[in-house]
Amino acid sequence: MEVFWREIGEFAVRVNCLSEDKERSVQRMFGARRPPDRIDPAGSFELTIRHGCEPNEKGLDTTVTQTPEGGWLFERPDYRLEISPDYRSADITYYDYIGLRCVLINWFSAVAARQNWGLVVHSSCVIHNGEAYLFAGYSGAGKSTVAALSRPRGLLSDEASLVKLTPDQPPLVYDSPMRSSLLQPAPVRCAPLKAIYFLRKSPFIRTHKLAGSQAFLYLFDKIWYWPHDPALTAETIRMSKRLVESVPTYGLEFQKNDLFWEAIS
Amino acid sequence: MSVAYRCLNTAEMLEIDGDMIILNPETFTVTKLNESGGELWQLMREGRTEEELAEYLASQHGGVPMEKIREDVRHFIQNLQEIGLIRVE
Repeated sequence: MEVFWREIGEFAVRVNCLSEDKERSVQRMFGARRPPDRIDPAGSFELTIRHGCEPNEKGLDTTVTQTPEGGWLFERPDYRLEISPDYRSADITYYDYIGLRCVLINWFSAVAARQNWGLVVHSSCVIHNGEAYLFAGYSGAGKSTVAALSRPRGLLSDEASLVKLTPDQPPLVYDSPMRSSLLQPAPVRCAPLKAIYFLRKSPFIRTHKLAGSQAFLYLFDKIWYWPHDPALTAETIRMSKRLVESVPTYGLEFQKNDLFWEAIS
Repeated sequence: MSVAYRCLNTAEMLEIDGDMIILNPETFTVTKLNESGGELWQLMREGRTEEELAEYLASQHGGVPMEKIREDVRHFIQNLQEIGLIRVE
């Protein structure tokens, strides 16, 4: 068994790998990531990871059931996640890198809600002048394209942005290990969120400010969260409202080049 | 004929910039209502009947035929039922 510590969001996580990482999915996810500076055993989390499951050939959705002990079981053909009743430990089985990434997003979104910590947003997030710019959109809307075109700026995420919400402070976006293709860690641990942009490909480059309720509905659709405990689900929705109220939100029509940064900054 | 309904107990209403949004924590869905819809939802939570909802709307929109208002209220209730925010009994 291989054991190592990593920081995910701002949580110290002990990772126990029970099976050989033949496809190097675990290595790809965590290899270049930093261990936590400080480990508080009472506040840390534990993931026990093994290889298994099957391909999700039919693209089935995740099912959720409560365990007899009061924990939660999330299942999809290509992953299985069992979270303990206190959310402090979880058993994970994954099929491939995509399954591993999705199960970790599933796990982190549950922990973030339980800790009233924040949200996981389906987006890429780029550091510009020390601040975080979040680009949200459906698959194919251009999140990864925006991230790739933003080089050499640092990247906090290319798929799942980890956003911490603290009352009376700007949201902070943490470096996310749950990456799609751009695996290079960010040069910083986190950055304050400057603005959220909802992407749409276009022959033009244009931004327009979004009204509060419209921004909320756009954002809500991009929140990674698997409903299980209704109290946590309601909290996640409230945090989504807090997020759109705490930073400016824009629609961004963009061409496939880096000129959109001129429109933004 | 008046429809008997029951609002989802766990549903909550959020207000963002004057718009009303109902969240359903059982399904992780949100529904945006216009101003009249938000007012009707509040009245429904208080247990008002379908006819009382129509009478309220009529008081707010003078000149609109009562039958048209009743039709709108029925349509509103039907929509809320379809998305699971109320149960018709």
